[in-house]
Amino acid sequence: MDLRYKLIKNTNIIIAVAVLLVLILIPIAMVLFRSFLVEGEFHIAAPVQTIIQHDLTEVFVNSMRLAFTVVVVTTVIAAPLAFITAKTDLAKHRWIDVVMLVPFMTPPYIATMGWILFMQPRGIAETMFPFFTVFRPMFFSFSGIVMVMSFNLFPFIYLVIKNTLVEITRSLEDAGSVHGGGFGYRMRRIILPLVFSGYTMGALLIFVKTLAEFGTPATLGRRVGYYVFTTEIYRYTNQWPIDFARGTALASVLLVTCMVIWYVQQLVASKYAYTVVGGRDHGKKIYYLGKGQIFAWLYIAVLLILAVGVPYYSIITSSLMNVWGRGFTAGNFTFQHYVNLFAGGTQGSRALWNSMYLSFLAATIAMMLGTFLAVVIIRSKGFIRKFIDISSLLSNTVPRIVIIVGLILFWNSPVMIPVTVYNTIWILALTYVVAFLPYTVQYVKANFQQIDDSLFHAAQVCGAKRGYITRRILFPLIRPGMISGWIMTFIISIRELVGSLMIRPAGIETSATYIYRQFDQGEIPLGMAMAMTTVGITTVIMIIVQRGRRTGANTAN
Amino acid sequence: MSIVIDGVRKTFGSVQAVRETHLTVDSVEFITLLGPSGCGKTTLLRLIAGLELPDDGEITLGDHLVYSNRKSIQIPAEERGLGMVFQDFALWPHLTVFENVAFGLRARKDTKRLKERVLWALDKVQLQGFVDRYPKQLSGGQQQRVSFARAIVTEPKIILLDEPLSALDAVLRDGLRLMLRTLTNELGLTAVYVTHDQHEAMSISDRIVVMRDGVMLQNENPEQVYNKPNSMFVANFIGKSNFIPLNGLKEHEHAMVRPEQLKLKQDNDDDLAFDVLVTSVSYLGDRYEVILELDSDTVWTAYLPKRVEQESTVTIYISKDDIHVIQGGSDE
Repeated sequence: MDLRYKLIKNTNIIIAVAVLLVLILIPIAMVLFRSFLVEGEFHIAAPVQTIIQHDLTEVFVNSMRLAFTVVVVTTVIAAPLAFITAKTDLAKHRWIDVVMLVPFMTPPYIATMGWILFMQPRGIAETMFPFFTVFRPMFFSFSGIVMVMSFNLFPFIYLVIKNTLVEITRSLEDAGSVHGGGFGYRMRRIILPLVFSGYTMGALLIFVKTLAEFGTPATLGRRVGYYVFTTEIYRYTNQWPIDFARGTALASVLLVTCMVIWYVQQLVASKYAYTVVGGRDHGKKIYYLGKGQIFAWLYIAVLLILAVGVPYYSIITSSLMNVWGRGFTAGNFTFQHYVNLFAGGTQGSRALWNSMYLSFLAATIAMMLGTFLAVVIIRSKGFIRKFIDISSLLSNTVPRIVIIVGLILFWNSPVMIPVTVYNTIWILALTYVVAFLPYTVQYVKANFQQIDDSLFHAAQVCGAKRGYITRRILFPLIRPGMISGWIMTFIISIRELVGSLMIRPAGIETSATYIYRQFDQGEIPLGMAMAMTTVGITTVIMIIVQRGRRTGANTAN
Repeated sequence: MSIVIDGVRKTFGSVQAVRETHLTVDSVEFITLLGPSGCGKTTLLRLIAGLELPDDGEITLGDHLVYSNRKSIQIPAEERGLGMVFQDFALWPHLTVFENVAFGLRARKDTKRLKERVLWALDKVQLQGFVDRYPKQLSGGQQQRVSFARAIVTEPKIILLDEPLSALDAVLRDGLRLMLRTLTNELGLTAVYVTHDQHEAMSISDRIVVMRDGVMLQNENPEQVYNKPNSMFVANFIGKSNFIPLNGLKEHEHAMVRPEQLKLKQDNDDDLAFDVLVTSVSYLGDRYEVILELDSDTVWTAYLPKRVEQESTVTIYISKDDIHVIQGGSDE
């Protein structure tokens, strides 16, 4: 290998490691470390003790039970849909995939609020669809939490199953039927084993996502007395009486649980992963439903009504009501809440503005830092490469709330006092950078990996020096990844709830905390207007980018 | 411009990619490095380009010492002023044809008469009308021509070609090969060409260097390499070889003739004659490829001008002048 161009300067590696240590590794290590301390002394069993002593086993069991049930329910919802859109005559309707992304792109707390507004006494259902009120006791219970979370998360497992199904080529199945396998036998012996590995990965991911999710448990779970890790961590670290030790103990148990699951996933993935080697025929087998199509469409319709229709209907109507709870009548209709948000000077407009510029700042920093890390990862090798790679993607693996606790411990620690941004508004931007850094790293890395070395070598032979190659070849080729990273960071920063809620300095509101507070004890219509505004802004940005990319794709790359 | 490689070695980990090598390429000579994959030919080319650093030795381009381990000289690739064509074309997808070709000029800040020179290079490869296209809008053959234009636009004295035709269809390959050879002659370029395809090597080169396991086995013109292979490996790698049981051969000596040297008629009185069994006949259009069996250990391939009956016995004549004796173990 050519030392001068292939590899990266040591100073860059040192900078990368230092940045990762300060931003991610030390904060997470502090969570772990703190939970092992009992009155200043180190005890290996301390987290377990804390759990048992303080009767937190219920929280642990609740969390696991919820995660497991959500995995089962999402699978039951997603599997038929995946089969319909991958293997039947409905496969040509590509738009279904796009629509199915809507619930996934809706922040869980917003979707949950929509459902609560729909089901609660004097809610949307009662005034408009009284029939639904019979489900009220069912909704305000464990099953309601499972339902809302499942409708939020099923698109993920749907896409996983669908993508594996699509990869199973016609010839694999044809070979099965030519050699005497009927439909059921083919399903059992060919399709299911090939889908299995992809599915388990998706299922474990849903499991971890459910464990780590704050929005739904915080809005619906707390209302019905169902407490899980995230809500309890939030309670012990943010609400009086504060018990930080218990909070960190819970955080570290959550962290360890997730790590174990990730480890299992790695094992499963390496053991059962098949590469479906496609021959020339990349067609797939189509099962013609005939009259059965109507049931497939019905299924899709019901799914969309429950996953998208109900929550958005509630949110939109609520945001347009003058006084919430009086029903949606002519006299009770107003745009005033939206006007209010953009008017300036109001609490809502300040929150929205805060979110906008903090997210802009975070997205920009995350893009630059993430690109730097991605380039260092690609250009380094061996242990150090793996170390930087895993560390910079850690925020995707570790539950967000654990990272937030780590950030609080680290930036609020006595050592950091002289330089800390804690208790200033900038800690929010920093939190978003840390939490969403993996997106840029992943996008740029994927982008970079597709660039063949010969493109750089050709430039070198042509007489270009390092800086020139970076500017004219490397940078333009990874720009799409950088832009995707920026957009993603911006969008999810605007909506980020748990991080904003836990780490914001007193008196500072972001759009997400504003929605949360208005919903909890303020004016629901105002909160919902804010919810629609953030969803609207982020959707518009995504559409613009998609458009731009499509036209851009016609010329270069 | 000449190339002198003096005692150059290169290892990757425990693999000796190029063992100590001495090679001189004369100015305006077209030389081919030929061998199976992993023989070190591409590594040798990249060492000349400066894309890899040797472990030892010296490399001189013209009167410029560009690498010397002893004198600690390492001129990087971008300062060696070479042209290079890559196997996968290595065109930059985000730049137009014009900008791809202009890259070397801009990178060296040599932008005087830029447009004129880029168009000149594109004209040489007959792609004048394609300046505003992006690489993905071109066919494979056109892409490789752009890549050639990019290599010559800076008017280098040496051009390095790393299997430039192997990613292309057979039909395109012949045409492009002729173009490469014509242009290198016309521009007075010294060319080092890497390939694993013996036909390409023989048709394009002034001289062929056959390599195996990082070692240069033979370094002569194509006719010599074909007619007088100096090892069993070269004899078997290039063309088809028939070995004849001759009396008076010493140990590790093999008597070889090429398929077209087996005849059905006797030309000279002292021609050797063998009665052989015809085991298969394939018609190739311009000739018949015939598999002949002298005994169960000795199977020959002959190119004959007319059909012979399968399963018949024929008499084959071999002129003594055509027999080439190779020294070396039979496993080589």
